[in-house]
Amino acid sequence: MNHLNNRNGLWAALLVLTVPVLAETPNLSGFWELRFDSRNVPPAPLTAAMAAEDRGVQFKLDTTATRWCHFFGVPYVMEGSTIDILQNVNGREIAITSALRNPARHIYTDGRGHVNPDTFDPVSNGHSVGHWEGDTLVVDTTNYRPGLFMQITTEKLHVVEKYTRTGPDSIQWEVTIDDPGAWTKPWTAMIPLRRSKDALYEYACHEGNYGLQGILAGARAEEKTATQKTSSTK
Amino acid sequence: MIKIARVWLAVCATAGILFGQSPAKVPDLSGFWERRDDTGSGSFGGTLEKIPRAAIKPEIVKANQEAAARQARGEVVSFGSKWCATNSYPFFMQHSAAWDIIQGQDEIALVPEVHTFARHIYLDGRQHPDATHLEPSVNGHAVGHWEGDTLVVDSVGFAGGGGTPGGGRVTPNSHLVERFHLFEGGRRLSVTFTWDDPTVYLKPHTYELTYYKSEPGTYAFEEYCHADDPAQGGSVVEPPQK
Repeated sequence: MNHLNNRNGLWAALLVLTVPVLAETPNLSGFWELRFDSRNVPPAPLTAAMAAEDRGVQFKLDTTATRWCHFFGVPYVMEGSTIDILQNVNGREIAITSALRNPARHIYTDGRGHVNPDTFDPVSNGHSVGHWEGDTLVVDTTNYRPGLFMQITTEKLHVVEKYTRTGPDSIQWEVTIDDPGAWTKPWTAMIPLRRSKDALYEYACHEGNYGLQGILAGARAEEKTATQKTSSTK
Repeated sequence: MIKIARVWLAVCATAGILFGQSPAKVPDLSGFWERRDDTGSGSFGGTLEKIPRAAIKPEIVKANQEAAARQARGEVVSFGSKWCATNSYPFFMQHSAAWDIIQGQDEIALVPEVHTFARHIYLDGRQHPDATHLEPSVNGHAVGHWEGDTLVVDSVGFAGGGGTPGGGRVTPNSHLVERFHLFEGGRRLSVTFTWDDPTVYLKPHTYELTYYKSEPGTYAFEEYCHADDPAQGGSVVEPPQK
């Protein structure tokens, strides 16, 4: 501890102890939402196999997912409602919660790598790890459950997001989506998020929900029509 | 030498304020927390058996007895699991699955694995909305503040429909005060719940649950409840209709 007995040594020690304060990362915490100018995203090129899929079947699968309140995962959860980005003060984790019926996202920023896919059950949010590149938070996500994005993604889905504060009330969210099972090449969207003054409500998706009743009534009417058509052709 | 240290501390305090550091040091509650069977009861349901019974109003006692009798006759008293209804607070705090605390400066989120929403606790000094603007929700509207090393959380605005350990009920009239406090060097967390509801309790119902900090590197799973999954639908079996 002799070095503390001279002035330079004390300055050095104080510097080491306080660097974490001065090197603080930008604060992304808050409620954020997409605005009218946030949806200018070009269509992504589907693989030949995926393009050949029957869109009607895809639509039906998606309607089923909506009807039964399935989780849609990232990035749908990021764009369907106000989101809350909450940055842990100890720097080890960031959570993103949405008003949609979807689990919260956990983004681990404690230096860990991805989990072993052989021992991890794929989930709708995938497994996310993040790190800072300057003022930008870079989030890498793998281990997704297949069948997201209108039922087209596979277990190969890999998403890289970059969050950059561009002002006190704005974040630039850049997302690059890669899945050789669904698209011919990775595609990137650059989407501005604006600070929201709205509250975060809970999205009740279950039987008894009036909207869902309407969806179910419509589906039953379709089924009835289909049954009548089948009967009339016999 | 002391003068240098004082100057540096002043610089750090200023930098901390500019960069958003909280000037007041509060305990770090963040991380995954899990319940364990400290009582040796052999089941997580059993771990709640030592919770004191709530002093509840006679009409609630009667309603509980009637529901128990219907259940004993084979009737279905709740279709919640069949339809994947969102579990009401405080269900996930009693569950065997771990839950995660994300601690920001102005907000703390409790993020469960079980099938429900994250709980948002606002620490920015806001109050509860007035009754006409209070949207009922499964987790209620929660505001918190620090009393020394204890996080005190006040919640109202529950949608209701759930229960509490000790035989209580959660209704839109429920008022909950919780106290979060670390002990054993931060390896354990105590949460004391006090429920008050003039439509349910004869006096406030208070009990404590304790949690263990999960291992570093713990990550969250998702509980995926599908109402169209035959196994899920089979979680409730209706008796033959007469």
